Amino acid sequence: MSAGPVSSRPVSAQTRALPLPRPPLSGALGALGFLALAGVVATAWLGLFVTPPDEFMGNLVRLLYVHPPMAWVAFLAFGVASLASLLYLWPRTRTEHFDRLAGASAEVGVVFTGLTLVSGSIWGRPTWGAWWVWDPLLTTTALLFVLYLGYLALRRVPGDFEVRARRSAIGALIAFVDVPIVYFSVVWWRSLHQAPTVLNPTTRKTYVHGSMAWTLLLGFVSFTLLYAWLTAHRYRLAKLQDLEDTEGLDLALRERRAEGDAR
Amino acid sequence: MNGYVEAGYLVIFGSLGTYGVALLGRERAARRRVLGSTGAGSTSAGSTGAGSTGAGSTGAGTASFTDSGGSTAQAGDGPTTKPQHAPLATEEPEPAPGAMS
Repeated sequence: MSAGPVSSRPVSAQTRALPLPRPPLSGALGALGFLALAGVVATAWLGLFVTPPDEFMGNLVRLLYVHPPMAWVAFLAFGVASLASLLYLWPRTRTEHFDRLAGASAEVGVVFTGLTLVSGSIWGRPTWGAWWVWDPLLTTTALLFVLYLGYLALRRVPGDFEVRARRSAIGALIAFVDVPIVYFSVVWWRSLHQAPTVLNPTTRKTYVHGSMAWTLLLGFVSFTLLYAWLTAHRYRLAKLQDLEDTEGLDLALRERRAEGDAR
Repeated sequence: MNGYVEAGYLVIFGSLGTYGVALLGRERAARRRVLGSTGAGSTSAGSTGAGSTGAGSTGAGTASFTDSGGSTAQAGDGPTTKPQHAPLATEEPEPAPGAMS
């Protein structure tokens, strides 16, 4: 998410030294994007055409290869956002990079949470007979989505950079409280949603095997790589937006100086 | 298969693809805007001195510097904007009489 209008932002030499023509690690990022794309395509191919249908769910089980990996990525993204926020709040590690990373990761996390909700709804319709039920897992996931949308909105509230970054960091930490609640909701409350297929917190067993397990694992890895690629690009965009804001401020200052010269 | 599986995959991959492409487009547009505002396109790594004024530099005493890595920085806006790595300019531009502190 953009840092929004920045009123009194310190102009750092680090920000000014952004290499514009070719950003650093472009080659590595390109390789990461290629790997993520290849993995995601392979997951879709294996999930749709290679793996067998489930004994009980039939072909609907094919949504297993994309739905849980997206939920995992959403948790990971919010975890990274919280860690970055924590590092920003700690005076020793306080830099604008952690603020940017938190914003970038949270935005990607919101995208994945939204898609988790949508894909879950599509799966729920033929399984439960309803697009949406007020199940603890679904409700807490919807709450998570709204909480991080609020966090992204909070980041756009204009104000001093330090104040905005600090309150955003606190907001990210508060929102993260919902993540373990979402994960354990199927254990703590009676839920229509099934318990986790991989590493069930109650039985500590995995309920998927063979080609289905490998495809699911590939889905987890591929979507994680995709998350890293999207977050890196979102981070770079945020950096450019910050630079743009700084340039806008500089331009305004120069115009004021020119006005002073004219008088 | 049934339509739900295909719909699920279509929504997921379509949305992620759209988001990714939009992100790349926004990044490219932002880079282009920043390039334009800093005047990096009008300076070259081999330029010397403060004579290479950026396209976006309209005020007095502002000049763009490009280091060997291609990064740009501007001088003339105070101590915070001094380039960190061996500026190509040999002299600091004098502050304008009516300049803000």
